[in-house]
Amino acid sequence: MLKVDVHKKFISKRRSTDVSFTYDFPEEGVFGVYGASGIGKSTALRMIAGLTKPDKGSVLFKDQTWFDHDASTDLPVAERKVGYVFQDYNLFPNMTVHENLIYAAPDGIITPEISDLLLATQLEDLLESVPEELSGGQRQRVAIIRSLASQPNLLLLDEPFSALDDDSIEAVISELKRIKLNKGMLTIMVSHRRDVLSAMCDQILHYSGQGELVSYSPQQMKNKGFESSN
Amino acid sequence: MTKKSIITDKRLLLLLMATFVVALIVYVADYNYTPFWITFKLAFLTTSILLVGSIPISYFISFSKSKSKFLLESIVSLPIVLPPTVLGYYFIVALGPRSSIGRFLEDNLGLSLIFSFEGILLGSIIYCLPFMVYPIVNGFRNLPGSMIESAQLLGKSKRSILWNVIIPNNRGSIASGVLLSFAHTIGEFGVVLMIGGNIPETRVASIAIYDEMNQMNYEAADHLALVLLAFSFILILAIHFIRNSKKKQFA
Repeated sequence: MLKVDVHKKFISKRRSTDVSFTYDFPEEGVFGVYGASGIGKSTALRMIAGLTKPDKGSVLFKDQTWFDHDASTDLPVAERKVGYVFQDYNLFPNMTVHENLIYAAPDGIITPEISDLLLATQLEDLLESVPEELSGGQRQRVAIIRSLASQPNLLLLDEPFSALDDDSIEAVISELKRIKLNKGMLTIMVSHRRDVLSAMCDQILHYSGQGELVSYSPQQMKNKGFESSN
Repeated sequence: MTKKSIITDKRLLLLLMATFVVALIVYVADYNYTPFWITFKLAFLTTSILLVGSIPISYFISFSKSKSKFLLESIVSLPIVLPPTVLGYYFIVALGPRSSIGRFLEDNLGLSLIFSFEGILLGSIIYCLPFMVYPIVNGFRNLPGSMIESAQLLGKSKRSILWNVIIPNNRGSIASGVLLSFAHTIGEFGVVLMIGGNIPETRVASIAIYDEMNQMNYEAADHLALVLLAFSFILILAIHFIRNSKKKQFA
C-alpha cells in the first residue's frame, strides 16, 4: 500500500499556494484524482515520485520509506521505481519505439507480457518508428507500455490525455483497461476530465488542494455534479 | 532530432564544401602551405580537446543546483569580453619562463609554453572555451525537463542519462559548438601572437597575412586572405545549416 502525506508551499510575488495531499491508497486499483486546474494535482504526483521535494510529511510504500521529512529520508527518483507518464515529451526522440522499450526494460529484456501488450494494442508494427513519426495518441500508448516495461512498483499518470483528441483518448483508455485487467497494479491518474476518470477508475478522489480528499465511486461521480470544479 | 532534415542539409553542405575545397586546392597549388597546416592543426586539436572537456563543464553549468556555479559560468564567459592581449599577458605571467609553473614545466618536462605550438594550443583552448561550451549549454537547457525526468523515473543513472538521452538529443548543439570553435580558432590572432610570437613554428595563417602585409608582400597576403575568407565562409554556412535544422527539433 501507499501512504501519502505531503505538503508543499509555493510562494510567488502574487500569490502563495499550499499543496497538501493526504491519502492511504490500497495495494491495487485504479484511482483518479480530480480537481480544478492549478491547485497542485500534478505536484502531488510529482512528490510521490520524488521529482518534487515536499516541505514536510512522508511517503511510505509497502515497507519502504520513500520520503520522511522528520527522518531526513529522501529516496532518489531512480530507486523508487515508479512508472510515470507525463502530458508530453515522454519518449526519447533519438530512439525508435523498440529502443525506447529496451532502454526502459531492466537489463534490456522485454518480457513476454510487454510483447503481448504490444501485439494486443497493435503497436508492434510501429516498433521501428521514431516518436516523431507517431501520432499523439500512439506516443502516449507507447509511453504507458514503456513505463510498464520498467517493471514499476506503481503507475502514475499525469494528465495523460490533455494533449490528445477524443479518438486517441478512446485508444489510450482501452489500453489502460487492458493493463488493469492484466496487472492490477496500483495506478493513480490525474485528470481534469471527469468523463475519462469515470470510464477508467475504481475510485475517484476529489481534490480541492486542502484538507481531506473526498472519495467517490464512478457511479456516484456520474450522478453528482461538481459545482466547485471546472 | 529530425534525422531527415539533417541529412538533406548535410548533402547541400557537402556539395558546397567540396566545391570550395576543390577551388582552393587549385588556387593554393603553388604556395607554401605551412601557415595553413599550423592553423588547421591548431584548430583541429583545440576543437577535439574542447569537445571532450566541454561536455562535463556544460553538464555542470546546465544541471547543477550549486549556488556557486555562476563563478564557473563567469570564468568560462570571460574570453568573450577579454581582449586577447590581456589573456596573452596573463598567460605569459602565469606560465612563462619567469613563473614557477613555467620553470617547473621547463625543468621537469622540457616543455615551454611560450613561443611553442603547445603554448598557442593551450592559449586557444582557453580562448575558445565559451564558443564550445555555450552552444552545448543552450542545447542542454532547452531539452524538455520531462524528458530527463522520464529517464530518472526509469531508474537510469546520471551517466546513462547523459550518454543515452542528453548527448544524442543535442547532436545539433554539439556540432554547432564544434564548428564555432573551429572557425574561431582559425580566426585567432591576438592570443597566438602574444603567446607564440611571430616565428615559423607558431605562424598561423592570420599572422602570416599580417606578416606579408608588413613586408608589403601584397600578392601573398591577398592569396592567404582569400583562402581564409573562403574557409570561414564555409564554416559559418555550416553553422547556419545546423542552427536551422535545430530549430525544427522540439517544435
